[in-house]
Amino acid sequence: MVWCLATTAVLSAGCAPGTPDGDSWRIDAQRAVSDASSAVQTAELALRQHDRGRVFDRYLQTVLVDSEEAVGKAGDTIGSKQPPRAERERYDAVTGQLDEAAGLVSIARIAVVDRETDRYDSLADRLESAAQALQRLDDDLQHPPRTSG
Amino acid sequence: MKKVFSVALGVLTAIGGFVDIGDLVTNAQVGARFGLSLGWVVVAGILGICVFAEMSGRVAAVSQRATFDLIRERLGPRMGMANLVASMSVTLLTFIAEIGGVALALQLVSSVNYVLLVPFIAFAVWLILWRAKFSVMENVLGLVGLALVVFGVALWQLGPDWGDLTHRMLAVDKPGDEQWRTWAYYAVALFGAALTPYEVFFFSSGGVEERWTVEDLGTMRTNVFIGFPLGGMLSLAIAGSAAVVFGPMDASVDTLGQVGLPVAVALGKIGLAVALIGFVAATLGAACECGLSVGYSIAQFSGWQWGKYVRADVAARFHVILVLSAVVATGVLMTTVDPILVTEASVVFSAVALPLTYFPILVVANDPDYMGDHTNGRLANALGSVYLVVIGVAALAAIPLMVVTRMGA
Amino acid sequence: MDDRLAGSLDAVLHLLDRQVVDADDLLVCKVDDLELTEFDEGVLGVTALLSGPAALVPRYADRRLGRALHEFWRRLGRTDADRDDPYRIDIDLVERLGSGVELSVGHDGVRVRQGERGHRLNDLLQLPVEDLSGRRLGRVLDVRLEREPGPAGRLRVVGFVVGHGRPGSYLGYDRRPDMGPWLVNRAVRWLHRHSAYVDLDDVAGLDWVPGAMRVDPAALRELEAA
Repeated sequence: MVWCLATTAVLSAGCAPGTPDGDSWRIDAQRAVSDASSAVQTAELALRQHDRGRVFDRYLQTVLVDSEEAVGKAGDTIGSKQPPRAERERYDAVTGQLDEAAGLVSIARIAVVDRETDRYDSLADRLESAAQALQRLDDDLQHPPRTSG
Repeated sequence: MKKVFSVALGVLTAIGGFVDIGDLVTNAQVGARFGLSLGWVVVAGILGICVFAEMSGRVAAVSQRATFDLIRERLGPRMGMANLVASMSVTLLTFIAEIGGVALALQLVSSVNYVLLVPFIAFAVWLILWRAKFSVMENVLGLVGLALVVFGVALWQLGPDWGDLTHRMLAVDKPGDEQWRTWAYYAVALFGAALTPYEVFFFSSGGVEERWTVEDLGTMRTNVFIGFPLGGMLSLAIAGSAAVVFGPMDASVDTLGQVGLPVAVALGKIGLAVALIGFVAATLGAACECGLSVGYSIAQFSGWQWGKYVRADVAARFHVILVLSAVVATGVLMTTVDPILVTEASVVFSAVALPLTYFPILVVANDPDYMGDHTNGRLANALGSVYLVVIGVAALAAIPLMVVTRMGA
Repeated sequence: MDDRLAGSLDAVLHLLDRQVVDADDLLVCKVDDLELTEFDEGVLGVTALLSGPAALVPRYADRRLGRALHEFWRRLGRTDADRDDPYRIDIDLVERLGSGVELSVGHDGVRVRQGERGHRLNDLLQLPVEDLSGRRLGRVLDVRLEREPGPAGRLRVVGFVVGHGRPGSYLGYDRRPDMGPWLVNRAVRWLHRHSAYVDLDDVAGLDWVPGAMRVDPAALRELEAA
């Protein structure tokens, strides 16, 4: 019985994002941006803690690999969704910033795997500003698109 | 003196064994998103597991019959079978989540991808279930699991505004940017994480394994009423430290690495190392308990010999089930499904499956035919009835909430 | 726990689906069904515990899905002549009935296949109960047993619990008005408000083959604990 219910739940959960109205895209985009922002902030936090000697190298590496995966997944999810016409502009902003964030986290991961500890500080700063940009985007996505005149 | 020692050991292992992957992940997630505004659910869940475990432990001690013996007797083979299938699906899901949790914890230590670690961990779990003595398994993993107390220390070190923290918990102060339905979904998930059915299967079957009698009722109650609430405090500490570190960042917790970060922030490498040991012990202990629970329950339903108190060949079918569960868990995790996702699903379905086992135990704990003078008293029945309603509501609400919130998105 | 076999007991509530334990405290099997034998002078008694799939599978079978399951299970072993032949444990081997059925012997070779010898309790539990004019009153929900006095006393049927067979008939609330918790007690007792007890001597007729038990409604008595 639980399995039937589980299947139903998974199916309905899977179907839900398919609805292509503007609001649904906006909510999905907001979700992707906030996921990415969480991951970027986590990467930043872990790098800063490493600078203060509070995290092991391997732990830091795993956290960054996880973050990289999460940002990439967020970008894939929203990038493959057809945006409604009114949201074209913000679609570009969202995918652009997510790509940028993904690239940045990858750079940080590469530095961490190679143990280039002297770069951690500047990387953390860059991650911080990327996270702030994502936060702003997230706030913007709270509202429906401004009708362009 | 020996008595005191054994009671203390029981309480300590109950604390250390309380937290599992579901508690770790769900509490950290909820702490990061909702602060301690859902802390009352943890408290309600702890009281619930105390009521449930005390009843099933008492039934086991008085009648020497564990949960699924009684479910089959009281629901008959047809309803009993439906119950078995549902409960074992959930327990197997939890088993998969726990093994995945051990793998994720070891990934944090070694930075080796967890998928590669899964087969070795599943094998190790099976080896423990096959070879280790029951009491050694329970005590060692339970005591090492106490390492998670580090979350309490971390929370204290982080120095939150205690007044604000407790106020939010008491006032059920939901953050403004979250919807009530998401809040309700996480309330159910947290409830399911605190009240996982396998804990009760394991607790009652373990009582039979250890040959509890009426004389052990006092010890059992001490373990439950002191150990479980203290273990539950660890859950709250995990939620609290996630709230302090991730709350202001408005970040969500989706990995085990994030669950441990607050400890690193507060206590540095040593604290983090202790937390990692705690992660491994807690998830490994829970994996062993889940695996055994699957074997226990199927064997109890079918009337086969089960238990680690007999030689493996005497309980051959029981041990075959243990092998098969380990193989299934490995297979599922090797598909690279995210163990955190499995965990999230397992806690919600735990809430769904809970009434199936709770109800028969409540009935049998009242049956003078089994229990003689040890039937439920007024307090046990008052709490038991309240929780019957609460558990029923949570079970009915779980799946609709899961669908409308898209698993808490 | 007291020995249930010393007094009277209800077959479904106290014996069916219980764990069988051997003399060394090892687990043997479940009581999947009971064998009922008709002795002379109208005495009906329990003569064996039945176990194994041949005893259990038919118990899933009083609904359509269950019957399909039984048929499927039979087809899996067409070649076996003894497919429908359950394992028996003679009732004389049972020493005591507590929370488990305790045997007086070890578990080696204790379950034997000896062919279908008597009736099965499950068949009795499927029987509709009718009044003297053939109107349906319900069905048999349980069978009350009592041990005859003396060392070799048979475990004989003394009466039946008759009711509508709604969910919860294994829970025991219909026979125990004082069992808690109050909430469950009220709900289950309401579901089973039509349940009643009838003495074996008051049963007007018991036909196994077309399958019906006839009872004068005047002979139905209030249900009490065994």
